[in-house]
Amino acid sequence: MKRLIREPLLHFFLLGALLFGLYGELNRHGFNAPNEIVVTHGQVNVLQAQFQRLWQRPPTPQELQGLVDNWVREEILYREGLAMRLDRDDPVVRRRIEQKVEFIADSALPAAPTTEELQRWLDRHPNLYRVEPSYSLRQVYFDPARHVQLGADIAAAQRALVAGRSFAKDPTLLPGTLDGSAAQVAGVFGSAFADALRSLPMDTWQGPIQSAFGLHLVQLTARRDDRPASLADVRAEVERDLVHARTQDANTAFYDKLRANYTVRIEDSRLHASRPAG
Amino acid sequence: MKTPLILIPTALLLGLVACSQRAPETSSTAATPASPETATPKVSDTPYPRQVYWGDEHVHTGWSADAGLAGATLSPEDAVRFARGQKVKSSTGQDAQLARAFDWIAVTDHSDGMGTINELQAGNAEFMADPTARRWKEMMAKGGEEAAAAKGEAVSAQATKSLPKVFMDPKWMVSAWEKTVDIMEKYNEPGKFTAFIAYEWTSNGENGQNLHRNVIFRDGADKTRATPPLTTFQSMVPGRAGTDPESLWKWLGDWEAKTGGKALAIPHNGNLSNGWMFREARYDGSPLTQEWAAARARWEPLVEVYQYKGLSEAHPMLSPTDEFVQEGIWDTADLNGNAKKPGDIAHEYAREALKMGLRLQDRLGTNPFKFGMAAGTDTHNGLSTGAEESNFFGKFATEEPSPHRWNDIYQKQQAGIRKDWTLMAAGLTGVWATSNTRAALWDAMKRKEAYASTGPRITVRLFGGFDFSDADAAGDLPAVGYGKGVPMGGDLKAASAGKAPVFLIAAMKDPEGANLDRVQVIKGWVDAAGKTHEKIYDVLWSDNRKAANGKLPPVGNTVDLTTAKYTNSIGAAELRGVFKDPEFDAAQRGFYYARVIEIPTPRWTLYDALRYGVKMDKEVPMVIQERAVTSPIWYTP
Repeated sequence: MKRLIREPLLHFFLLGALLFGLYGELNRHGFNAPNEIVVTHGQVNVLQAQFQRLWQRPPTPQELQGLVDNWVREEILYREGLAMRLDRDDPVVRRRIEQKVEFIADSALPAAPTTEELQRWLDRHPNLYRVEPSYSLRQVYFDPARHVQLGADIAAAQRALVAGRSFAKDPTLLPGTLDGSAAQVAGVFGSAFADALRSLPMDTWQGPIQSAFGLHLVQLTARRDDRPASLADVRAEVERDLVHARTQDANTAFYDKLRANYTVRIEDSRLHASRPAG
Repeated sequence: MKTPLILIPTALLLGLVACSQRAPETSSTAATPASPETATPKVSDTPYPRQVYWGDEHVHTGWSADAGLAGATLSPEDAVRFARGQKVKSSTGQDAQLARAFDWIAVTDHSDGMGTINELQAGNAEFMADPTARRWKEMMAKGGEEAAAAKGEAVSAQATKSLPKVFMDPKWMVSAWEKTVDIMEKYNEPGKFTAFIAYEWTSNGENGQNLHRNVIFRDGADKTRATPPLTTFQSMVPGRAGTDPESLWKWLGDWEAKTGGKALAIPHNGNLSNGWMFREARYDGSPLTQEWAAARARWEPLVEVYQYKGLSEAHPMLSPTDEFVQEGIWDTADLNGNAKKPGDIAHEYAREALKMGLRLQDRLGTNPFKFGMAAGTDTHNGLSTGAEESNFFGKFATEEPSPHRWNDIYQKQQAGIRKDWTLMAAGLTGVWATSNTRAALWDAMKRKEAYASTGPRITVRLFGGFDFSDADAAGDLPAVGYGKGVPMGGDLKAASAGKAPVFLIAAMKDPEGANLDRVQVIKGWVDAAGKTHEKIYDVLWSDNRKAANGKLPPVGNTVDLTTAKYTNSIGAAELRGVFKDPEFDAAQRGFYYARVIEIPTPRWTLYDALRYGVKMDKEVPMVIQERAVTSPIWYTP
């Protein structure tokens, strides 16, 4: 039953039936008086709204009169044309109606997936959603170009950090503290530096660690290792991917089902009638 | 009460579609309150911009007419997924993925004919009934040069206003626009990734003069979805052409007034405008007015200076002493291949326009060309790969990786043939914002706290003030910079007696990229006689080089042409310091911006040559010096 409720073709037919009923109800009077045209308040509002959407201002009274006159003219010619069956085999009409069908089919696509479905999708693609490691760190930067005795200077700085003494630091735009994922760390310090944090001992000043910019003493104050994502971590992403995949499948399936009801014969021996995938 | 026969059911149908369409979209948005476990935490803004956010403000997909004609099949959804770092299949069936995801993107499909091309690809009857559309469809089906030629014809037909009528019907466009907006809503995640709602207003002037603008909205679907984007087929200003930028500015003003939203426009490719982008006249040739200047300055705070079709920061003829301006110059034609006339170039490039703006301010009361720097790719295959030379997917689907693409014809122009090897793998904008949200990024763009890179994620800070000391460069630079001065995009008022502007500058290499060669300050000013000038100062550089005769020796070149490898054995990881204008005249209006130059690195053509084992012509450059330019700081006494 659940499957049936989400069946696009069913939605399509239900919507179609609904529209057919409404059409008949609303047009009962219309059929009774084929040569009468009533421009309702609703219709005037529609014309006004269409104008406003394009021009971003309401029409002037003269413009509104023009819109209505034009609509009446269009309506009369349209009715006459329908009576002459001019809608048949017209490429514009064909395309417009095809588009409406597609829109209805689109709107009947599977709605929001359930939590169970999201979980199943996540279980099937765990590697797409792995939560990467994240870190809270403090760092002190050493620009190799500014130090004659780099090793000694770093060692001295490390002693000062441990003792809580202040010392002169090399100027840099690099942040002294950072709280973020491995990708965010890599975005600032480079991927080699981010990789080095994976196995760095916690809490104490460690290093020097090489980055794209020079050397660093680093104190890791928190580390969250990479792990498989729970649905709560990545729900939005999983939902987007699942809906994306389903939309593609459903559009194909919708056409294939309709196509299965038809026999197609092409009177040109060079060509063949393509069959639905399923 | 009588009801009209046909119209009501149609309206009902559309109403139903609209409602039922919206339901699944909202329920699949991250911020849906219905599922508490996914409720997006409120994004907090930092007190001042601490981070630079990287993105592309210029991306076309298969929903752009010319892109579809050249074989692009990717949708805006594919483009956003790609920008977020996900793997997608390119239009030619190749796997494509960025080495580093972006922080934000603006998908800017052309509003003219938006959404029509999917119909053309589907080969539907309405389009096929038009002989031109049918011929294009057939050319596209053949692919390769034929597809490229079809694209060329479409661009030219749009420019000469001879596009088949069926392309101009707004009925196709509305649905494509609404779908675009819905996709951006779905992928926009405040704090994590920003998907701007945007489009490109594509005016080709009268005959191929590129006057394109990327329109970027600050707002979401609630304000943007109901209004279809402006095309050039209709003018918002009675008596003026639909291709006149004044029509766009009027539309933007009306749209803001109506919705309470905010929008800005980013012009691009002045280099293909044959003198029209920064022309000293209105579109119809009449003299500039104060209102015109105010509108231009209001709506266009940024100009795109780097992209696939050339670099438009400056031109060697206008800046003959600039050593770094030869690269990526496309000065042979307009968009349709029409040759340039003498004098056109003076009205196409950003630096010259910034100078012109200082001069025009005297006459108009407002500086119309007071803009900052942005960059984007202008990709037409949905894949924004301009930031990655080794991963360049070309502009059109016909230029996706292949052994022969370097030598394919981009365009037959009056002045000769332009080949695809001249394409630049360029264009990324860095934005100094207080958070990664539409509002914060847009606000930063509006105040011009943004800058252009040819690709590398070079961090650049530029602050201007009168009270910076040398010691300030060694301290906490943003704290001092914001505390005692203004950031890029800002203004300095009249100097008090004896003071000269001082600039606090720091540049840091791309953490995954090459070292820096130097930082320059480019100054432009206007003298008492109304004449404009420019001067380039080498301010900071690597390797303790000594200038000889006022010229800094080149940094060197480590690129190995047999392996496409370079080393960071030359150049500097970070450069910082202060620059005090040595020739300051307190009475003269001027601007200052910084340009950061990388050491030489392999160009996409070198990666192609090695990947495919092809030998390219001698004239094809194999090495480039990537760069970033900041938005200026203006001195306005």
